[in-house]
Amino acid sequence: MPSSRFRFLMLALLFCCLVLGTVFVPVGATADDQWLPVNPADLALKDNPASPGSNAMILYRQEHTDSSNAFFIEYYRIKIFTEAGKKWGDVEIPFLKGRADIKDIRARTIRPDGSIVPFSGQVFEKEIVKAGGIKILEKTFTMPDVQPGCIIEYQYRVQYDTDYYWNTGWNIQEDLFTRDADFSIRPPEGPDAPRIFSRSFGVREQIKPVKQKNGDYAVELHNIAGLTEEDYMLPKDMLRGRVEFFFKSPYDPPQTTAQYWKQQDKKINSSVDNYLDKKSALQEVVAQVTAPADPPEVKLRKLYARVQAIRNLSYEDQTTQEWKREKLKTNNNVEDVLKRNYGYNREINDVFIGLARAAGFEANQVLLAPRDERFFLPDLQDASELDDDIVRVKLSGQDFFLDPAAKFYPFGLLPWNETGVSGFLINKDGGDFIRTPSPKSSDAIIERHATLELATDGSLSGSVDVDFTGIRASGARQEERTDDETGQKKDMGDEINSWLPRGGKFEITKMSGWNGPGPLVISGTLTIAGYATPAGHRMLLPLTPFIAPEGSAFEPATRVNAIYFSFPYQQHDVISFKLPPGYTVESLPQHLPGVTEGAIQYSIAPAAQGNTLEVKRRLDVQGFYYDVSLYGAIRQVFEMVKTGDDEQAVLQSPTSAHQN
Amino acid sequence: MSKLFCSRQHQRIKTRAFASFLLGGALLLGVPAARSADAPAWLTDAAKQALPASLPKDVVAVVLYSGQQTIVKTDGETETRYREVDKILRPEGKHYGTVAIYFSKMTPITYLKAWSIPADGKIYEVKARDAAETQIAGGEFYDDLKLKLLDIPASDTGNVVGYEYVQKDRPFIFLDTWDFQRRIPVLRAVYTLQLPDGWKYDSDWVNYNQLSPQSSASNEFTWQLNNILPVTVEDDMPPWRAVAGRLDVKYFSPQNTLQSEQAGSWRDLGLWYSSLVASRRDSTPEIQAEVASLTAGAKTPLEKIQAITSYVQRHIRYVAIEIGIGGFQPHTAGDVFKNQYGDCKDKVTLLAAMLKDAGIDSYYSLAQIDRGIIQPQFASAGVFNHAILAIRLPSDVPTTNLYATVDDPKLGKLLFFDPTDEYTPVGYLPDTEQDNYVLVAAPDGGQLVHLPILAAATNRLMRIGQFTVTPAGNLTGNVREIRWGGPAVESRAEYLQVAPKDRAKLVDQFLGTFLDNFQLQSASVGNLTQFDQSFTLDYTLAAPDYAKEVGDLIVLRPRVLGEKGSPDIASSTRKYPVEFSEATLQTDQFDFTLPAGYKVDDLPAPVKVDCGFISYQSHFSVTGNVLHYARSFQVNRVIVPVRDLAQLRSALGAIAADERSSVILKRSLN
Repeated sequence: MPSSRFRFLMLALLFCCLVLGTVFVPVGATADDQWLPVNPADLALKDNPASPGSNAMILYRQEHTDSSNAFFIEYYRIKIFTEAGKKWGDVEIPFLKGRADIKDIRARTIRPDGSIVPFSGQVFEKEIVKAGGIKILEKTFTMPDVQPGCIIEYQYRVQYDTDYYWNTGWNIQEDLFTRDADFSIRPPEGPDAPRIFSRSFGVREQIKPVKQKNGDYAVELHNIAGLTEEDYMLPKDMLRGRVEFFFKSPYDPPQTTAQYWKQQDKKINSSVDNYLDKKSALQEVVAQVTAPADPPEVKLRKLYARVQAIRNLSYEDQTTQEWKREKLKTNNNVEDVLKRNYGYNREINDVFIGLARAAGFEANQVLLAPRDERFFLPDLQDASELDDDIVRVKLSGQDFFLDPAAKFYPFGLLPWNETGVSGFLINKDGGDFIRTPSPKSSDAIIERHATLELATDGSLSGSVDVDFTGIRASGARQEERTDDETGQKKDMGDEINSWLPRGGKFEITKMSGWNGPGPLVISGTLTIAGYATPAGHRMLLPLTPFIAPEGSAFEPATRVNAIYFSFPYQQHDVISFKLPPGYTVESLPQHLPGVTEGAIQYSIAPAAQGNTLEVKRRLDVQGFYYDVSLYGAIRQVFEMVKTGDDEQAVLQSPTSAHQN
Repeated sequence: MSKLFCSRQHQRIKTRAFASFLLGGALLLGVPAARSADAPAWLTDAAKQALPASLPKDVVAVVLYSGQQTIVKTDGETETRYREVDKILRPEGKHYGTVAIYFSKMTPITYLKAWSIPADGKIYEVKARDAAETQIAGGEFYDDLKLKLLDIPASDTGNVVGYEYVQKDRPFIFLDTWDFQRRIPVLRAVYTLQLPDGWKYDSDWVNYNQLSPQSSASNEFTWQLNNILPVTVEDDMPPWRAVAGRLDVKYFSPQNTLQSEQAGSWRDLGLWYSSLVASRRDSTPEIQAEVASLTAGAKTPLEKIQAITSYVQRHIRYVAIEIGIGGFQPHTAGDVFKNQYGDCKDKVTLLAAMLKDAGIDSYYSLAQIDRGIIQPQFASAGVFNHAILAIRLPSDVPTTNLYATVDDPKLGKLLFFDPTDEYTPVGYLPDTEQDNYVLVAAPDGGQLVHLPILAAATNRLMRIGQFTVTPAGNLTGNVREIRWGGPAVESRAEYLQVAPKDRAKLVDQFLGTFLDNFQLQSASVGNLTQFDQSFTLDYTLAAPDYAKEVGDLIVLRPRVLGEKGSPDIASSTRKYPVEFSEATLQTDQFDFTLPAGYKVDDLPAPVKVDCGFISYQSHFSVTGNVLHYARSFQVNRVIVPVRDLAQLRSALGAIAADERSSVILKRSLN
């Protein structure tokens, strides 16, 4: 419980210490070691009334942050209901040595009869990471006599080094259900103390801490659901309910969100302009790469291709020693990048902006937060969240969003984590909040063409060509970029084999298109022992050898979280079965499921001709985020997909045909 | 040496992923400046070695040289120097450029350096200070074992990487192991043991042909192996150490009788361990009071045993705290009782104390959680990683349902019980302890005892279903599963480890494995926490379109649920045996009420296969409008040697085909 939160804090702190620099916090502090009275009704509690069938629940939790004195205090009271819930009796609290320490650990177990077993064991200190002079440690202790029915409670203080100052927050949502919780924060004090602001995330309504008489801000919360893990959900930490605090210097004028971003835009725009301020170098490259007669889009594509040829250091996995030995220099401007022909993601995209501008286009940097990590929340007023960037180019009144630094992504195609996200466009007018284009399912297609022959023993063999296009191709190219042909064969073979039923084996005979920009084509032979099953004198032939993996994810009747695919996608299959000599199709499934409208569409259509059965199948998942209220409908569609994929044709053997 | 007697099953260390994380962190924090360095001659010499032309194309790396030199001092302390030179042949072999070394306060690393020789010949060098350290993620609650990770620059295809480190050890037991076989080919491996004057050694080759050492006048012995084939990891294979080659060595001081040449026997190891645990199992008034309370209603010794074993198994939480000798020596029974937690040997200690208070004797039994590791011919404490208890059964206790009983001619009737296993009741044994050895530490010396493999009929799954099929192909029905032995343990583990509210999801997931479209209408488990009773699971389901309507036919697959295996596990390219977890007998009996107006047109033929290791039969019959389908599957032996895999493959193929087979119903003309 404290574990994940603290790990996050430690990494965040580590980052703050090393990258952002740090400020102070004064004075020490003490912890209140008083235990709260125990309600007999809690001792008698057999289950969580708000979420019956729980292993454990947090009856009460208190977190008090003292920004002035650089500490926070945690208090947990947890009711254990089951054997499996006993695991909460092991407590782990990570911290960064030299920057923080865990103090005043107190713990006790309250048996169901009310008798108390104080914690008198040892608190251990584990070394989680020791690297480069930094140590992340963990205080661990285990509660005595933890049995179903008991209550465990513990409290501790995390004391930070007062020479450091840090942004902080409350993780209000734990993995366990929380019945009652009190959160409070004492803001920095003194004439030079920064002002404190807060925003809440992952909650339906903003949590507004209320100023107390003593100057603290506090909020009391009840019945906070625990986080539930499910397939196809947003990353857990993006969903977790939390309140973030941030601090502003008292000498900075108060800013609205709009003012903050305007100021950021000014700063960043100026920095970009400075970096691009090598007009003649840029124009020289434009002249080399493009022809005056080139239509605008052709020009832009040529510049995109030129920039993609620059060595992208962000993709390289070398040790510091190797970097130093290579004597790579810091690029101070686009001319350096062009001359040295290497750079990091943002430098490469900046070169593209410069070249596009030099060629007469309106081109701007767009900062964004990739959606596999976080969502951009302008209200947080934190520009460091925007650690990814793409380029917006205006062409004939149309916006083109491009990321030439993304290796293997052709002109017009963005990596999925940069699609459908909010970003901040840098310009000379104060910046604009924009949204990148939503991904289209036609940008990620897998096409499978199978020419298969069925044997009388039910085994299937033949050839399969799989075309990966769009994001599917670029993603595979990126993932496999450091691998050799053997490794690529193994990985792609593993993926294709994972689509097959038991007994199925796909062996790659040919791969093409690794360098793009067209489809990545994987060809090979397929064998499936016992694919068709004998049924007396007949044989039953499943319509497709490819299994849809989504089906099993949506088996549960209910769901808590929204459904989140990384990107929309399509599958197009054309499967041709040549039947064994003398066999004919006796009958085909009559009521094949199909969905021809809506955000997820599916069809499967078999057609028999002579001794060949041809099956065409299409699956089109058009969205990437579906509210949980749509779960029932999505589940139903994927059940149809499973049902349709599992349909069988009945074949008549020469013997049975004769008998008929 | 690694810690003994405390490993729990299913604990795995994700070293590679964690290493990347740590080393990534180390890079962020800044690592030292580039150095131009010289590599030692042993490395540069090995790097010149030509690779055999016979190396398969997909080999990711090859060990050119691996050296292990153990120097034993007169006080028994050891200093071992490890050297290794690897050539990376493919990008997937890059991780061979990360050195990962386990160490503790007892086994510190006193020297560490690593090098790489890239294609341009400019050597990179990194040292101990460049390494990251971590406590083992996912290990015990607290122990002092750590992992040191050192990333070697330029660990790229075609380059040679090498490292050298020295590790000290103040061993509790005088043992050494040479693990020379890897996942990649090893061209040359050398092991040297240097003993003080007068000391002797004994050795045992495991999973490899025996080789004699070259010896020198200075009591130094050297073994060298060339061209060692890699171990290929396969599904359902025996544990790594049961197949990979190694040399186990123990050495003796002439001055110490316990480590004399005659010592080191199983008997002496038992004596050593008995001395280590002496007084740990002394009872306390609190323990005595608990025993009195637990056994107040017990009329027989067996009832007392059942009450006490159940208490320790279920009330004492597994928490391992192991520091120094704590890896070997349990906490006192009093401490374990007071805290209500402990590791395997702690739980054994408390259980022994409580049984003693109830008038029942018992012995510590050192165990190994994987089968095939312990070599009876070579006594060694290094092979144990777990502790269970051998309970001396009074002669009048009937053993009818106590399948974990061994009647030892010397020690008498011993009932083995593992209090760390959360779900296996007294009378049964966890699967990996069956057909395995334990060292029973009796007061007059240890004795290696072979634990039996429990009969198939003791590990039972019975599935009985009544279904109705409609003319539209919809299937409705109810199923009762009755499980005991291993299948019950497996189900209890599954159902008790999730929150009660999530248990129905487990049934959902199970049905989803076999059915495309279904609704679970009700589900209930029985005897979930009554470990001495059969576990039952009842559920009612509806599966629309289960039977496929095709023209005037309905295609019905009678094997609605359950899968007994796939021929894939016995592939013809396998190098190692297939290992089943336990012997088991599983039966399905399904009745289908057929839709009105339909009759059976085609029935699959009955199946009967028996390859000795497994047997299977299925058959159909029709009574009126009810179709009966019955099948039974039995695993008789848990290890299938490579030479017998073709038979197993054929049997599993027949089973898989039967599981796919369908009955054809035809609309009746009248």
